[in-house]
Amino acid sequence: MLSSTSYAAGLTVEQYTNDPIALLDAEGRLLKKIARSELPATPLAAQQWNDDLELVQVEVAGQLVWLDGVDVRLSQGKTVPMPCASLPKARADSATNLSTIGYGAGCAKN
Amino acid sequence: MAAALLLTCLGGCSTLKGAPDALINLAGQSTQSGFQGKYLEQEEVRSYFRLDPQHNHNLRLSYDGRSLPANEIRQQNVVLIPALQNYLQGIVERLAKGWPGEQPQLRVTVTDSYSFGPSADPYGNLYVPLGMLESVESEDEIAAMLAHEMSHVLLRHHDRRQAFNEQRELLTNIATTAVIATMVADSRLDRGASKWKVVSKNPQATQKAVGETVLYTSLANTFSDNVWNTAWGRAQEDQADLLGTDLLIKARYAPRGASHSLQRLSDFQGKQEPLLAGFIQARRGAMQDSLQRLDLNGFTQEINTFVNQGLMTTVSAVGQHLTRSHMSAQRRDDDLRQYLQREYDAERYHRVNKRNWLTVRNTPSVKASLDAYKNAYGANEALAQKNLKDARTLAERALKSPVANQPGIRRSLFNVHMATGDKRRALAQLNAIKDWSLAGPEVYEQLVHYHLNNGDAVAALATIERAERHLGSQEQFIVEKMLAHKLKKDESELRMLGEKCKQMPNRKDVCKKIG
Repeated sequence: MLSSTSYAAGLTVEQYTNDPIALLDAEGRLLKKIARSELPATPLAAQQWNDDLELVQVEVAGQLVWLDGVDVRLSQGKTVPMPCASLPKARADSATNLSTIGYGAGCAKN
Repeated sequence: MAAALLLTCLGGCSTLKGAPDALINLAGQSTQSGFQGKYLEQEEVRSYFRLDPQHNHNLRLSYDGRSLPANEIRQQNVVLIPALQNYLQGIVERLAKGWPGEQPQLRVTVTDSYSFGPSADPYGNLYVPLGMLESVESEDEIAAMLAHEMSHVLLRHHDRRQAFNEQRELLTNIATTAVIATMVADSRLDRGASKWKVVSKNPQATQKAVGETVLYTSLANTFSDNVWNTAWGRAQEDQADLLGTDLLIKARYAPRGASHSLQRLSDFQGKQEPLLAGFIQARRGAMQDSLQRLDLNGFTQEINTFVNQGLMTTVSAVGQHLTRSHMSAQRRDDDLRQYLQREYDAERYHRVNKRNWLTVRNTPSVKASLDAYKNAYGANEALAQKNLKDARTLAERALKSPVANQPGIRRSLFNVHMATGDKRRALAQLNAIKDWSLAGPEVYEQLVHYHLNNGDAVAALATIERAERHLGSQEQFIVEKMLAHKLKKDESELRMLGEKCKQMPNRKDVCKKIG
């Protein structure tokens, strides 16, 4: 199965939200469960992120393993793309798809 | 820690009343830690399995259908996209099958708002804002939010909605108050030969102030309904999360969808704070402007105080709300994860299905309609930035869609034409609205004030009559109705309305001045 794995620049595991935590392989199959107390301290740098499976790869005891997003809180969670910090400017002249105006693309850059 | 939180809140809260609530919300015990097993099987939930036959009857506040208080009526325009509506209703029906008790009527309505959170009223209406549909990625996430809102209805949380009402009232009344103040301030009341006559002393200035107020209101409403929606107490939110999760899993949805929606809610609440602050600032300017005119016109200090109090109370309520709710979304997510691990350890790893929602969203009629609303919203934003050219382009683009004659689309064109001073074309936009039952109060408000400013009492009254019929509230426009009857020099109608208005706490002071 092909899935969207990418390098997780700047992404960190901020918190283990359950106990125990499942250690998984790249396809999300269970390797073993481990007590939260045996895991590295947070914040823990992520190596890769699989958006489809919602898996984050981290290093535990010198080994690369995958954790499921349901077991951890990440530094970047799901977001709402619409609101901006200030009322955005529409850019009808330059935009090729006007329907995106006001939804991030048109937000004031400050 | 609790003491520190309390002190923090006391610093930011204008009254002591808000402090204990905030503390409980931040530091209180979670509901899920107080019982064993699934929430749906708890005795307190079973007690709601039988519908109370008196319940709906008690909710019916009005025999003539027009007695809803202004702060209880729907604030947004309704959006009609049949394929989308059917899809969302189908999700609700699938979820409802997991409820072992008697079923109340549950009906999904899409609203013209770019808020994120859906909301529910005690009648079983589940309001889904366009902003939510723009943000979610999977049917599981939609189902999680609908299951949460259904749970508020199933557990009859509206029976305990005092806090809910208080917060909702504060924010939604503020813009209305500004409009009323401007109207009253700019209207000279001439008494000739025993007849009153309302004369707008500065029609252009009034139109501008009203126009700006309405414009900002339409932007602010995007955020205000989220304020209503999250104004529940901590326990009620916990209960709705727990029951919602049970229903979600019984309907074979992936419960991680609930976590996704709570992460988005947290993100949204963080982003709306500066916008709300900006809105309040903008309103403060409009209010001060209105107040100056009130003084100049020799109105009494009484209205001045009334308006000022409204503003200050709103500012503090919004501040309190943001402090509490911003904290609570992540807290709710943490609690929910613990409940899932305890009761649904296998199901919590299920993956969400992104395909179904993507297919519906990309259906040509749905996509064209959603794009049209985004363009209309973009037009309002461009107008707020005084970028008329972009506003016009966006608003006209919105016309090329199946929803072209719906209130939210025509309103943006009305705003564009008003901004250029082309009143005739502006009016034509509102007249092009096909189904006025979809309109929210602000669209009616624009048309009523348009007619009043043109001295056309008959047209204003016809619009008010339509608003009362569709919105179910006479309170909403009673001040404007009195002004219209003043214009018509109809003394007896004016007296009768003045008597009615005495029963309406949010309007009576202004009515007194007119009557």
